Amino acid sequence: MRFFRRFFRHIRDGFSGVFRHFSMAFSSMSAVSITLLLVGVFAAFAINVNFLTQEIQSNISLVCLIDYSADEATKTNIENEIKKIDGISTIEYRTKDQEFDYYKETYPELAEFSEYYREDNPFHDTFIVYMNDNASLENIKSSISKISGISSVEDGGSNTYTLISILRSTRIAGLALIGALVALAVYLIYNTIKITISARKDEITIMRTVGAKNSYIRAPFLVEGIIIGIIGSLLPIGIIIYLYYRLYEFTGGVLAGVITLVPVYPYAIYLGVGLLVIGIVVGWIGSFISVCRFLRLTR
Amino acid sequence: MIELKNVSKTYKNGTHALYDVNLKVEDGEFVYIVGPTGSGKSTLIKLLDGEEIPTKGTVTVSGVNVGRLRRGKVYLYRRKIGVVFQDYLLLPEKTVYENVAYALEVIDMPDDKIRKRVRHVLKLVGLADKSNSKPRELSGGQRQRVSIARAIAKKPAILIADEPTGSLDPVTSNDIITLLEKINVEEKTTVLVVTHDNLMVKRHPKRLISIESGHITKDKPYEPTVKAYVADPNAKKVMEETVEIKGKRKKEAEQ
Repeated sequence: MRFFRRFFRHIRDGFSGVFRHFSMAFSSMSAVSITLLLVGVFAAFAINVNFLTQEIQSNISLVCLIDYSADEATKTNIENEIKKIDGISTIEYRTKDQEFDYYKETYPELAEFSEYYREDNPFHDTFIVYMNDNASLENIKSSISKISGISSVEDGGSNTYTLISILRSTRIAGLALIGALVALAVYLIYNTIKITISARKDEITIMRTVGAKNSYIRAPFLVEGIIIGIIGSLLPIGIIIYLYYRLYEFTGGVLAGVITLVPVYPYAIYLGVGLLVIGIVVGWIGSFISVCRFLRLTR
Repeated sequence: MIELKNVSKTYKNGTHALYDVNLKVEDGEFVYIVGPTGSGKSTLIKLLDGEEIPTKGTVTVSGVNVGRLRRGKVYLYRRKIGVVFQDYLLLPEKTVYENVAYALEVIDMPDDKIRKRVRHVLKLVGLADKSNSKPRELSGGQRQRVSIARAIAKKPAILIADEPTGSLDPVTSNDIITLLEKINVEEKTTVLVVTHDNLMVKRHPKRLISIESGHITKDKPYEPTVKAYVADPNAKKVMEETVEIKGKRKKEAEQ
């Protein structure tokens, strides 16, 4: 009962604080909105880069050629050794005849010509190795090459490594930027609430004088911070969902005819919820730091 | 009971505010603390309020060693004392009722009890009809009454009034001190009034403690006599003014 009484008083005081000091609250909300809009844009970008990286990686496979001389026992051993390597998702075995047929299917214009080589089939028995999303292509390739009975391991070439590496770096840079923007939002809220608090020093003095516990003094300010965070995040959520929806609709989900965009549903919802949570957390942390700093200065 | 034993206070910047102060105030007493600006009055209040801790000596209030209170427990101690400020410190956007009720909300009193208690203290300070007014709609004296009502709402054992008449005219000041006397008697609250209004001290004689340069220079016990007051020419002047102003107000009210 006491908890609920106190809880509702804090909610009431938090709301009245926002409305009473609306100009300050408004400037905080604007700061949060602008920062979260940037966070949202970069998050949408990072999500898409991540999606693209995953898509590219899921299509990358290593073609492991087995020595002509390898017997069945060696092949089983190779398969077992590959399975032991971290980051492997699936392994597919193809005989050299299957490889020959695959070649013919791929190059039908050479089908007739190829048949001359059927008896002296130059292809190897092969393991096609698929990897998990975050696995290191280079490491896996190197590990497989060392297995006895493997003739050679082929991949998509150095361009694949470069592309994946660029995408990964871009994703990391995007996430770092998001982190910096979130920190900026915290700082902006912290500063505004700090100004609000120094403007409301009397109120806090009264609270202290009448015997309010520090947590009681903090609570309405935290509620205010959360309200500011929620309201401040609504606008960027709306803008980002709308703009992304329009972009998706305009491009048909494929940017520049090559890059597949993540679908609006459910990713835009995830992004919206994420921004809302960031808004709440940022509002809470910003006001918490500023109130704590103020309360620490007085006994 | 309030007891200060060999209390000294030196601030971090090296300012010596109090030197070896010894003081005892019994429950239910009404005490004036007078002294010029910078004499150490405010520091004394801060020590009693728990805002500052003594550099030396002990400050004991109702059996609590205030200086040894843990930071996180000071709030519990503050619930036992009431403080009235010269500049009232009211929340401008709250009504009179809400300002007083606020002190009780903070200590988690249920709403029905808050209503009852606020009505009682507002009646006690003579503002029962102003409960829905905002502080800006009140006179200085009325604001100070709200401040007093808020301070006594939680039934403190001790009421500290820091220059409660500092911003008021002589007539209103007289009313405020009369109100504090009433609280002292009716609510059995120990009252400490910090002031430099010597006239008021003479008009409402009580125990008088003088502080100068951080030392207690005089501790004159309460002598219930009006002779000193009547003999004072300044007091006479104020009394005449009071009668004149009250007469004016009455006339205005009648018109």
